Order: sequence, then C-alpha cells, then structure tokens
Amino acid sequence: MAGKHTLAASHIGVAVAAFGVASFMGVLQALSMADIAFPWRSESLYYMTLTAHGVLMALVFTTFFIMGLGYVLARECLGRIVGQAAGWLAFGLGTAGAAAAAVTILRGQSTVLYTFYPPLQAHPLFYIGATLIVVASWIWGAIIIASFRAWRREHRGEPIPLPIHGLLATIILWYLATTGLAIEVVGMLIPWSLGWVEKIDPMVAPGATSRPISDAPVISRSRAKRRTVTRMRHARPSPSRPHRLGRPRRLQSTRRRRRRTRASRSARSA
Amino acid sequence: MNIDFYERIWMWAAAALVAMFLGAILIPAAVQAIHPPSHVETLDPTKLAEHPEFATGGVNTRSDGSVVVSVAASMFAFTPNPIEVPANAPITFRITSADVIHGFQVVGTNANAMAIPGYVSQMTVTFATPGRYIIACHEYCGLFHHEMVGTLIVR
Repeated sequence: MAGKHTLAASHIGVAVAAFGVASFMGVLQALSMADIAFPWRSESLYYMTLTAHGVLMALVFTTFFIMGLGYVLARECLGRIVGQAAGWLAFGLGTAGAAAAAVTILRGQSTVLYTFYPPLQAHPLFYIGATLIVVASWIWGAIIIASFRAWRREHRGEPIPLPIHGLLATIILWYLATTGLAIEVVGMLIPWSLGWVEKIDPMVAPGATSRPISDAPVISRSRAKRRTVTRMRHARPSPSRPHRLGRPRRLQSTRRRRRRTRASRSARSA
Repeated sequence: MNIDFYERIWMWAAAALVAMFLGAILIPAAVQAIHPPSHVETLDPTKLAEHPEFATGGVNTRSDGSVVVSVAASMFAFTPNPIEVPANAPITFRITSADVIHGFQVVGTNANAMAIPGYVSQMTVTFATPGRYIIACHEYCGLFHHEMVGTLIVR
C-alpha cells in the first residue's frame, strides 16, 4: 500500500535529481570558464553545460517541485486527490520527457540554452520532451482542479483553504503561460526540427517577440524624433565602469588559437 | 457578496500594482514614443549575399547630414566592421541577420536591438561623445557567441 504522499514524493524526487545533475553542470560550466588548466574546457562544453543547467534547474526542477508541492497541499487541505491514476500517467510522461530532453542535451545535440530561440535548432527529442513535461503539468492542473471541485461539492459555503487558493491561481497562470509555448513548440518547432517544414518565422516564436520588449528603452525613429535625439545625446560609454565585454574572454588559450589559425591558413594555401 | 475589510484592501492594492505596471509600459509608449526597434520590414535571409543593401553593409550619408548604417550580423561577426560614424548626427542603424538571432548592443549606450533573420530592426541614435565603442552580440547564437564583438568608431 503506497503512502499518502507517494505520488508527491516521486515528483519531488525527480525534481531533486534534476537539481543534482544541474548543480554538477553548474560546476562544469564554471570550470570551463575559469582561468585554470581544466583539461576538457571548450566552447561546446561550456554552452552544453549552460543549457543543461538552465533546462534542468529552471524548467524541470521548478515544474516537478511545484507539481509535488501541489499534490501535498491538495492531499492535506482537501483530504483526497481525485484521479491518482492520471497523476501517475502524467508523472510517467513528464519524467520520460525530462529524461529524453536531458539526454539530447548531454549528448551535445541540443545546445540551444533554455531560451531555445529559433532558428537555433535542437534535436527533435528536446522539443518533444519539453512538450511532454508541459502536458504532464496540464494533467496535474486538471487533477488539482477536479480535487477542489469534489471538495467543494461536499463543503458548500466553506472558505477555500488559502494554499488551495494560491494553487488554483498558479494553475490558471500556468495554463495561460504555457498555451502560447505549446502552440510554438508543437505547431512550429517539432515539425521543423523533424524536417517536415523547411523554415519557420522566428518573429512568431513567443520567446523572440517578448525579448525586444524587454530590450526596450531603445528609442527608434518615430514621430517624436526631436525628443529622441536629445535623449540620445546622453548616450556615452561610462568610463568609470570598465566593460565586462571590453576584453572578450577567450575560452581557448592564445597559443591554441594561433595554432588553429596557422593550420587553417596552411590548409587554404595547400 | 460580503468581502472582508482586509481582503478588500489587498484586492485594491493588487489592482493598483497592475495599473502601475501597465502604466509604466503604456505611458512611455504613448508620450515618449518608446517602442521595440522592430518594424515589419522583411527580406529573404538566405539571399542576403545578393542583397543590394546588406551584402556588404555600409555607412551612407544622406544629403541632410543624417547617416544610415546597414549591418548584417552572422555567425560570428558584424558586417561591416569597424563601423565609423560622425558624432552629433542622427545615425539610423538598420540591422538584420543572415542565420540565427543575434543581438546588437552598443555597449554603454542605450542603442540595443535584436538582429532577427528575415527582418530589419531599425533605430536612430545620436552619439555625443567621440570614441571607440564596443558592439556586443547579446543573444546566444552558437559556440563562438562570446567572441562576436564589433567596433563602432565615433569621430
């Protein structure tokens, strides 16, 4: 007989496992950037670990942890969870998706960072895995809502327990936030990564279109042109703060770089 | 419906926050004409090498003294590089990409845009201080993203 929190504990277990792998990736990321003689340092290792760290921490860990926490809260505040079997199905889908995405990242086939802006392309299993995680979270949301409705039928007129109120608000926001993502990934990125469609419009991807807004205070040409110019007069480099990008950090030693240039030059002349 | 006094306070406080954040976006957009540097001007990124404007990119001075700078970003360089522009003149940057999404930021200024394949990002900037500025790609674009740096010389 499974304990009352087995389903929740399984989710949190996957979350903690993802956290562990991501932490290790964080260490590798630092080692491939630091100025020490780390033998495997390379651009591909750096960006691969950066991707793995981001995806496993920001997407897998958070999603699974919140799903587990949601089951705990629902079980404690509402007394029972409706549709445990669907919960296990969702757990299986989500875990399989997370594992598939993680494998393609660790094999270096999906070095696209956790933003995965197209037309930078990942392995199809990366997108399919991400979709399965989102589908799992949708099933989880439906289970929590069904559990709440069942509780409501038996407890008319009682105030909603505060954790459930917060949980329902989270689920509503999550459904709103993931609908656009699902349309992008299922409608555009999966067919494109499988080669079924040749090209996609990077402007239609929500990630790409939301970024220029965050990059805003750029004042473009506009009807308020004069104001634009006076505001822009203040644009100057700040000498007090040395720019981080002033001297681009080299991941390879100068000697290795020179050797590479020389090799390509002799290849060209040959 | 009976709403508790304290609950009412929190609801109004939340509503005020939402109104404040929306205002912080909408008021500058309407009053100061701040908007993202993306207007819908499209081209075929696969034929950029034959494009009259972006094949080599370049700096062109109009008869009224304003300057147009056409920049093509690609893995892992900006074309042309370095870019030389006059100080105290409105400079219109027109930026596009040949392959993936790149960033175009003149470091230390608020000139900042995305280079999106198939689209032209446009912005007008006036530089008051002559000097060498760094142009950084600030969107991850591949394994040598960190080396994608250009130079802007303001004279």
